[in-house]
Amino acid sequence: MSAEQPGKSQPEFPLADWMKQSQEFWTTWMRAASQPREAVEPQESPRRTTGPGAARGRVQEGWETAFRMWQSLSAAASDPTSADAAVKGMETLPDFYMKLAQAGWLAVMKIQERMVEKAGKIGQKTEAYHFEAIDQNLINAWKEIYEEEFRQFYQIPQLGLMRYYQERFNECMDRMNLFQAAFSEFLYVLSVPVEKTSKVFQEKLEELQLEGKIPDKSRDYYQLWLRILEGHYMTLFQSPEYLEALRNMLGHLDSFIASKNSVLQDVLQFLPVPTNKEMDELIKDLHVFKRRVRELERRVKTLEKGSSPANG
Amino acid sequence: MEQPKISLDLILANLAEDAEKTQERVTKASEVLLSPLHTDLATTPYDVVWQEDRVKLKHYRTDGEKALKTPLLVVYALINRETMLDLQPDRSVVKTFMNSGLDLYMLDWGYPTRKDRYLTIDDHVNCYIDGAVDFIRERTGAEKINLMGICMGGTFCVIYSALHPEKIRNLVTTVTPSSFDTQKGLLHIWMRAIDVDKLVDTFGNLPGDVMNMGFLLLNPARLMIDKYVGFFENMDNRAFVENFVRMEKWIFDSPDVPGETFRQFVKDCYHGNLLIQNKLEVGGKRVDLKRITMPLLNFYGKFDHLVPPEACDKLTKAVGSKDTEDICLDTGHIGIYVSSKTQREFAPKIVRWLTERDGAPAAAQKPAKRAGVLVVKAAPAAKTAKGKGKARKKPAAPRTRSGKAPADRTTGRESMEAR
Repeated sequence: MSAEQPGKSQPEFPLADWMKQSQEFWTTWMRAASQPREAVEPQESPRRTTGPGAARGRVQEGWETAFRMWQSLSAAASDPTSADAAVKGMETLPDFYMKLAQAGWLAVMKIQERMVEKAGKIGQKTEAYHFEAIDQNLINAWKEIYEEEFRQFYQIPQLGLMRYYQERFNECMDRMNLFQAAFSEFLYVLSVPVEKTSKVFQEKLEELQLEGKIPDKSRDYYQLWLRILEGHYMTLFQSPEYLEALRNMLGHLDSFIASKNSVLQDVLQFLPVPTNKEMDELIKDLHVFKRRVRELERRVKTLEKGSSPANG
Repeated sequence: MEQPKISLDLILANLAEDAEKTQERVTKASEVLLSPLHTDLATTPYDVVWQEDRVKLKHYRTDGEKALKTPLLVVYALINRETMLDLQPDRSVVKTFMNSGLDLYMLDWGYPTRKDRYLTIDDHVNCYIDGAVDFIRERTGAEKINLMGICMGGTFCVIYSALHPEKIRNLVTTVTPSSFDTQKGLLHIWMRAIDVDKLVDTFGNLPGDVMNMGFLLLNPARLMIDKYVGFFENMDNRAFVENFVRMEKWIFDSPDVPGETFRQFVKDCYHGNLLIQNKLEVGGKRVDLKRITMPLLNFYGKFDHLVPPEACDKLTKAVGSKDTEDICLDTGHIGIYVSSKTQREFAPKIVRWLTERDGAPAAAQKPAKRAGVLVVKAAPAAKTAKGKGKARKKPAAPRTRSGKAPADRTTGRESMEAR
């Protein structure tokens, strides 16, 4: 063991003074509490194992055990090495919270950065009826930040008796966030035709104006806008970008619902109701039985027909 | 070059007029919307004559003699409900059939619940449809019955007819997908993109609302914007509002689809395209379309975005029957049943076609005695084409300026042509 180096003071456990004082207090109290019993009951008399006296004795024993544990703990805490470890442990807590806060701040900054970038793109040419380069920067920003900065918190290994329950809950939260990102992306893809339509609609109006054919009825404007929008949607819905967004959204929705069902399954197990999983197993059994009965009925009918007098 | 002048004064005058009209319309609309509206669907009386689990067999009541001796069983899709065939009294396929003296039965698939999630195509075809067919045969004494399928229900009917040809006299398929190897319909493209296993494992049954959302996304400009703009423009018209609300009721009355059936349908049909290749297996038996030797009438819509003509028109070539006919109507997936134009072409044609093939002496050949009952005379038999003897009828399709199917604007149904 390393000896204490001269000139280098050991870190002092912050609660050492308080622990020492409380130890002295409880020692005095325990002595005072045990005195009357010792005075009334002679030491040589056998200990009562039943009755109120025995109960009081168990309570006192419990107190004494707890007190001894406290003594050990405070002694250990007063030990310079332990105090050092405890202080370091406590020092890491702010670090943990700082990291969490940093991740959140970084997310805000990145999203803001993307928004500024996007704002700069306003007015740039919108390619009508093309969806190869859908600008999803803003959506992707949140997705990337979540996956890089936040997701890991849900993947911290869980310990102890409740570890599987906690793990499933964390997984559910993680999948919910992923689904929300995928859903936002899907909604964004759906909104792109509206954006493009506005641009094309404006160009069409300019053309009509040059030709002197500008409509004078609001219905005509609406019909023109609607036709352009419909055309954009028809093109979008057949594009690989849309199919990918659809597949991605549905995939994450499935995952989220499956994990949500797992959490619900855990909750329902504590209630006197059958869970979906149990019901599904029962339903499957019934389904198989029904099929077997139906098949047997058919065979019986065939046999009956075969053995009827008309058939010889 | 001098830029043409914009008649700003005219535009402003029109805007002012529009605002005035809108105000007037909204005032009238409040009277219409706050008064009792008749928006009931499926009002033709019927009896439930057979039931297995959630599936019911409806038999429509007739008070006179039947024009055809062979009863007709209509099988709707598992998506949406069969009430579409009896949407409103003046546009009801059911009414047309009844007025023509058909003995009409219709399968109501009901509302699947979690307990139905393991039902497969085999259960639907070989249990429910077969059970209903056997019941009708027993009840009417007919050895064979006529079978008509709609959309996915049509695909089930094709499968059933191939597995049980001895029970079917004539087969009518309407907007029925049989060949899935096409890039024309958005549904075909999307179905290939989705992970059906994950979807079914997660949801159990495919929720009707999820499907409806998918249908709305087929044409959001028309189905989510223009349709309601049309409603706003006509909401002072009581008849329009009633028809519109009926349609809304029908559209959003979407039962869930049993999970395993959906999985099998997407995998075997949309992904594998097994049916048209005679490779599909149902209940351990291969579905051989060559076993469909009964007469086949195949309807589809030229502007159908859900089940495009390319998905329908290969069936007649694939079956074993020599008496087949393709009819392509200038309409969409729903318009074929509800548009005023097709009401005159669609159901009456089916009645004529069935009457021609009703076999032995039928009431159809007797003069109509009942008042108000139209007995359709048998039309000349369809000409047989060269070779296999296929009769084909594909009328030229006039299109509107926008390139869309012509439809009835007064009821706001044009928007529904997208489905």
